[in-house]
Amino acid sequence: MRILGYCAQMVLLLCAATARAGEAPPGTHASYELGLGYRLGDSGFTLGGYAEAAYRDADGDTPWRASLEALSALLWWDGADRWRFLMELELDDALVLEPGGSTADEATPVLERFHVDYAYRDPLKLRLGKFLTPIGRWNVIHAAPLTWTTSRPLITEATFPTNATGAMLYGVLPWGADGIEYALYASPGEELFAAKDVDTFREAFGLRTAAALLPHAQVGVSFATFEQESTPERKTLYGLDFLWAWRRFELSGEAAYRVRDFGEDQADERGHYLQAVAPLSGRLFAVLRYEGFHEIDAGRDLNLYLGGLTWRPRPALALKAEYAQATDNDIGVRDGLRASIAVLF
Amino acid sequence: MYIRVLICALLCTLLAPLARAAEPVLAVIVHPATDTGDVDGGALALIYKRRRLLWNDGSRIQPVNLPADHPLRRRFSRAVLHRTPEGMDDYWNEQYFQGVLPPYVLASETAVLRFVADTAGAVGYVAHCAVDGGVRVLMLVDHGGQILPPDALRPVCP
Repeated sequence: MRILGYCAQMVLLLCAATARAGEAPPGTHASYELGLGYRLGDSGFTLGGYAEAAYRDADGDTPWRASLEALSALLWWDGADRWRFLMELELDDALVLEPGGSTADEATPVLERFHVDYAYRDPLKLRLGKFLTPIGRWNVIHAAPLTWTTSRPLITEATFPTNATGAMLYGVLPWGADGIEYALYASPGEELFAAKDVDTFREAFGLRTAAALLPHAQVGVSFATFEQESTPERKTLYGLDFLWAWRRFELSGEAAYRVRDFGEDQADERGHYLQAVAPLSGRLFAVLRYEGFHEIDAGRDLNLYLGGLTWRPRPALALKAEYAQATDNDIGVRDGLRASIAVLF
Repeated sequence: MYIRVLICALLCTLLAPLARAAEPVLAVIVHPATDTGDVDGGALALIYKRRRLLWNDGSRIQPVNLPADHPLRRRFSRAVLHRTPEGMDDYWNEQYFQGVLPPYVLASETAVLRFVADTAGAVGYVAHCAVDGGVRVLMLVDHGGQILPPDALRPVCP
């Protein structure tokens, strides 16, 4: 952990010492645009982020709960050549409002990402540090302004640690209309600034690849084998995801199947979701989602049905409201009404 | 009344191809010293989506755009990226979350020509007719959105 801390300091010093971006057009000064961050002139640094304020009803003993769910700061540096650096620091539950009053005591800072990238070639880039685990589509683009619903499908966060610290080879292979993306990663554990109450990787190896196999459609395949800190038995996860987007209609889904590598009964958690989005007017969209989830040791498979509306008055701004109903809910998944406003800034 | 409408419709149908032909051929231009290697329409799309960052010689690609409401930008976007500039909003939101920004936007064709001529690794697009000796033409985009080799058409200036 200490070594990674020193590495982090070295990265920042390196960026500061060599701070110069790609050749910015003349007259490019510090500038801000909603959804595009604050470019610090031609230094190569950009500062941005996103925020989400959310409401949900009937949360445990309280009839409702509103919170500043996430306040996330992004800082990245894009050099003139092959080096890049990105950091994301998030403050969860910065402010919580409940019928009894408000509190900021639940505020939790989380280092979501901290990595340095080196591009040897476009098909071969190296990433070192803490990154989002490349399993499925949702986890790597989970920011609230980018998603259609306030709640997140269970299989996109319950079946694997959402962050990994280690090394990743990734890139775009120049085959097909949109190229073929791949990410091959390894983590020796030692999570960089691990969040509390998160069962991080003890060791992990994985691969994800995605390609546009059909017009308007992308299909991805994920594989990971890992051990977690609190449950050291090795698990293997197989994932499949797809996105079809055509004229503002969208159909997407993911499926994950996890097995234990030892023991008599190797079946473990598994689940899937299917989500459809359709435009109702220029900026208003209807969202429908079905989820199925089998938690380890649960007697029955959970089913979750969700319907909602999302209004996007600007590309960087999303207002969402949804109602979810769970059946066979032996694992206490929250359903009911949720709403949120999210902005990329 | 009906006859007038019919005549109008007939004239519009006949003149539409002529109007489209009046649109300038686009020239995709690069800095003359750039070792681009083989670049086709697909590779150009990867460049303008910032999924391809490096030229053959390892130098950084510096793509520039015209403003989103510029007629040449709209034609370029439809022909190369197969979407309007607005249709790319969701894509750029996702890329922003990964620390990737869209290409710089320059205000005019003159600015694009000047930037590409002065900047190693730069790539942009202007009307074929506007190309000068300071840049090299990489490919052409004709009236119908077809990608053509740089010497496939001679510039026709009004």
